[in-house]
This record gives sequence, C-alpha cells and structure tokens, in this order.
Amino acid sequence: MTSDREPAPLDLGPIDPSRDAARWAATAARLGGVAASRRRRTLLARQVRARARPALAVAATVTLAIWGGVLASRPAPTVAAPPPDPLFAVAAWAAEGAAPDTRELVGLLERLDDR
Amino acid sequence: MLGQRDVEHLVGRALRGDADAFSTLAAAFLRAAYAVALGVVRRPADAEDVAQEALMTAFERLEDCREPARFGGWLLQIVRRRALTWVESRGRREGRGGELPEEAFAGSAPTGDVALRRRLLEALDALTPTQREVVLLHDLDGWTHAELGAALGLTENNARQHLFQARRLLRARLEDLAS
Repeated sequence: MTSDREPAPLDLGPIDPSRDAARWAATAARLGGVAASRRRRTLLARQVRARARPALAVAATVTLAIWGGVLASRPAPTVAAPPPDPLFAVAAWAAEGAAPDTRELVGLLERLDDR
Repeated sequence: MLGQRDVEHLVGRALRGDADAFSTLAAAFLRAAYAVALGVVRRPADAEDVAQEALMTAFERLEDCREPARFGGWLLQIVRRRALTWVESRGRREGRGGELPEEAFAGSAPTGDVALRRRLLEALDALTPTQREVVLLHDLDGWTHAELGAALGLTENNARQHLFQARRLLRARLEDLAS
C-alpha cells in the first residue's frame, strides 16, 4: 500500500481548537500556572514534614526527660500512722507511771466510744 | 515539537516547581492530548475538557513518569484512559450509544466551519482508533512517523501505513458525505 503515492494531508482546521491561538495559549498558561502552584505546595508540605519529624522526636525526648526528672525528684508518699490502740496507750501510761494530760485522756475516751 | 532532551530537562525543572517549565510542557503537549482525546470521545468540546484534565493529572503525577524524555507517550496513555472513562460515564449519563449529537458539531467553531466540522467528525468514525490517533497527531499536531511510532508502540513504517490508510479512508468518506 505504501508504494502508492501518500495522500496529501487533510485540513483538520475545523476541529483544531488551537486555531484560536490566544485562547489556546491562555489555556496552556493557565494549566501550567495551576500545576506549578500545586507542585510548589506539594514540595513545601514535603519539606515541612521532613523537618517536623526530627523536631517532634527532639520535643518528645525532652518532654520524657523532664517528666522523668520530675518523677524522680518527688518525695515518696508517706502513709499516716494509725493512732495507737487505746488499751496500749493506757498500758503505756501505767508502765511509765505518767499521768496523761486532759487532751490525751479525752481523745482516748472518744476512741473508745467509737469502738 | 520539542526534542526528547528538552522534554526531559523541562520535566526535571517542573518537578522542582518551575512555572515556566509547566507552561512550556502544557503548550507543547496540549494539542496532542486533545488529538488523542478527540479520537476517543469524538466531540471537540469534550476532547478539550479531557485533554486539560489529563494534562493536569499528568502534571500532578509527574514523579511517576519513569522516563521523563518520553513524557509525551506517557501523557497520551493518561489521556486515553481518561477519555475512555469519559465516554463510559457519558454513555451512562445520556443513555445512548456512540452517535454524535447535534451539539458536537457546534462548539466554538466559526459558523462556516460547522458543516465541515460535522463531516470531519463523521468521517473520523470510519477509522480504527489507531488510525484516528495517527492521523490526528500527524495532521493536527505535526508529529513525525518516528514520534508516532515511539508514542504509540508502532514501528515507524507501521505508523506510516496507518497514516496512509487513515488519510485515504477519510478522504473517501468525506467525498461520500459531500455528495
């Protein structure tokens, strides 16, 4: 088939939108502008992510160190000792031969009432 | 038409966010994208939309273009896929087959061109998809046989044969439609 003379090109002008050169150039420029701005945003987001990762790791390490230091320096919680049994108190007074003062005596009687 | 080295260089610059590179690539490939889209969707206005959408998709996925020097061929694959999806969704939306509606012939064509545009679009229907792509890329966007072969996965001689057949069929169909 190719031995025949090649048919001349057809005029496809009526279906060629680039014949309106100004509109076509504006479309290409608009597409290029939008694509470039999207690309720059993507690159920026990628840079931010790349830089944020080590910064977050440092922040997390510092937070953990501070928290650990605070926990280590805090005094151990103390448990309040229960009041002595009234009978032991009376026995102690008797053994020591010491008379309790009025406040101790009232407290002891109150504890006995609570029983 | 840009050489492969120029295209590779432009793609590299575009990847770094260079607006001029994007605009140059758009200006260089928009018409080829339109030609391939028109071969599938067969309505000039739809083909313009598909070409623009496909070009934006290609720009957004530029990092996926493994051979930047062959950006054109890669873009045309995206255009073809986008155009086929467009035709499918148009078929579902409009509930009809491949026949061309009246609005397909109007669009932005000057009044005197409408009849010729109608005949051209109808004549393109007589071609195979490959013949349509070859004749549109060659006669609309000035692609060489070698460029056609590289982009469409054909030998140069094969591309030449497709073009030969396409022009012959188109001319015959246009004569039928005119008479």
